[in-house]
Amino acid sequence: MTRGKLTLRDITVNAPRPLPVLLLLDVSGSMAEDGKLAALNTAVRDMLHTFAQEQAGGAEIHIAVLAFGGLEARLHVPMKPAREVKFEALEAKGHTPIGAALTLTTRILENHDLIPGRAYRPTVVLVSDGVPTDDWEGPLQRLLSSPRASKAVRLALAVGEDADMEVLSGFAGENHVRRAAEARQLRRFFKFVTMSVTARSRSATPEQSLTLPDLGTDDGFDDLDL
Amino acid sequence: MTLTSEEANGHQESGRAFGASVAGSAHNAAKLLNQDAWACTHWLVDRETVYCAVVCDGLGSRRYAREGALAGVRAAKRAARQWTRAPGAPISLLVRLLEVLWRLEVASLPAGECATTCLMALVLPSRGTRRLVMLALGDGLAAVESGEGLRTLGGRAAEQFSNVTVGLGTPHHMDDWQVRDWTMTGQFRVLLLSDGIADDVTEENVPELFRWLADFERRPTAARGKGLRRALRNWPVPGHSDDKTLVYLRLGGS
Repeated sequence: MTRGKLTLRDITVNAPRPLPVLLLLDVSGSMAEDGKLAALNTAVRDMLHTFAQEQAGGAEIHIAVLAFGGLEARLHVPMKPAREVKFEALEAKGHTPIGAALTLTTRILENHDLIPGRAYRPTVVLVSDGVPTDDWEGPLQRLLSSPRASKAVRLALAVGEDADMEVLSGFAGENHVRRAAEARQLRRFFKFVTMSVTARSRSATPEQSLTLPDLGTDDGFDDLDL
Repeated sequence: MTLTSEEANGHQESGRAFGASVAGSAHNAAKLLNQDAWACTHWLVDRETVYCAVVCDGLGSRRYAREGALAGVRAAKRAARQWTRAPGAPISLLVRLLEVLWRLEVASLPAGECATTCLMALVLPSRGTRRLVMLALGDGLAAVESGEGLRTLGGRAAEQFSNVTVGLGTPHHMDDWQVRDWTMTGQFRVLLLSDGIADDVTEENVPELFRWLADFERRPTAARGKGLRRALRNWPVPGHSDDKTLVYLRLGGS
């Protein structure tokens, strides 16, 4: 910084406010059935494409993708601006460690380096088709009682008939959970989340609450047109 | 709505106060008015001058945010005037009075729809020195620079995100008010910033912001407000959208 002509550019941060989105995606073995994972990969790719194009708003959409399957939850895409994300298709295998995913989520949301205080309230989306295979109640309690993670906008999507609505409702609250019994409904859910996030990024009042829409009719998952 | 005012203190020693507020681009695009409000004023108590600066930032998602912020400034000034005429009164009474007067100011509206943050700096004479009382509820930042260095108050709580804050009209405790009471000697400068500015200036750069503003002191009066407003409108942070308000007050020195 020069001591001479001081400008606001020298004093201010050089980055837009982040609007973080965390996707918690079930990649357990059952997601490979009936084309569920293929539908999910397409929906996430579409979402990322839209976010990357989004330039009109004041906020910059940042995204992280957490995949949980097998025995662990892992960062498939670390938190970064959506336009910088190169998304590789998820692969499914093993169990449904939702508890591990919730623990990792809390750790990310509480990390001020990843999500600074000037960021807008994060949106966290949990997508699962099954029953947790690890301890999820403790991690969920810790998430709901943690200072920052508890303030995130939380949404959940149950994929197929076997998803555990108790854990998804516990995570997001009953009004913020939908069930997708077909690929079209899954895509509709992701479209809605995409639209609501991009609308928030442009909004003069980005903290207003949202209402999830009805996802429409159920024609089964095997009508995929991908 | 854009406001600018200033005054030169000609009572006992040199000083300067000025401020500005501009609507953010998001409000301009939505054809909404500025939802920040500010004031900087002074009055006499026992022939000595009391200075009072206030910044209020109406919560963006609330229907009457602008009215709430304007009411916050009026309530803060009224509370300060009453409180400074009661020597020895604890600061807790100033806070309670401000809360009650704000409720009265917005009595015809739903208080929750008028929610606003509030920053206040009050400078009183105190046995040959000065007493600086600072209050902060919600986000935004208050800063003081003096021979003792930089001291700050307010700022976003560690568990909060942008645009999520407590304020007048939101559920809160008296403990949510941050209060400081300092004895000041020599020259000192006070800065009150709404979060539209505070969020984009890291704390280590606040001394540089003071230095940048000190340059405005030297400008002709007519040019000062115009230049400050222009600078706030041309805020260099990519994607900035919030209303931006600051008040600068220097006492002592030249």
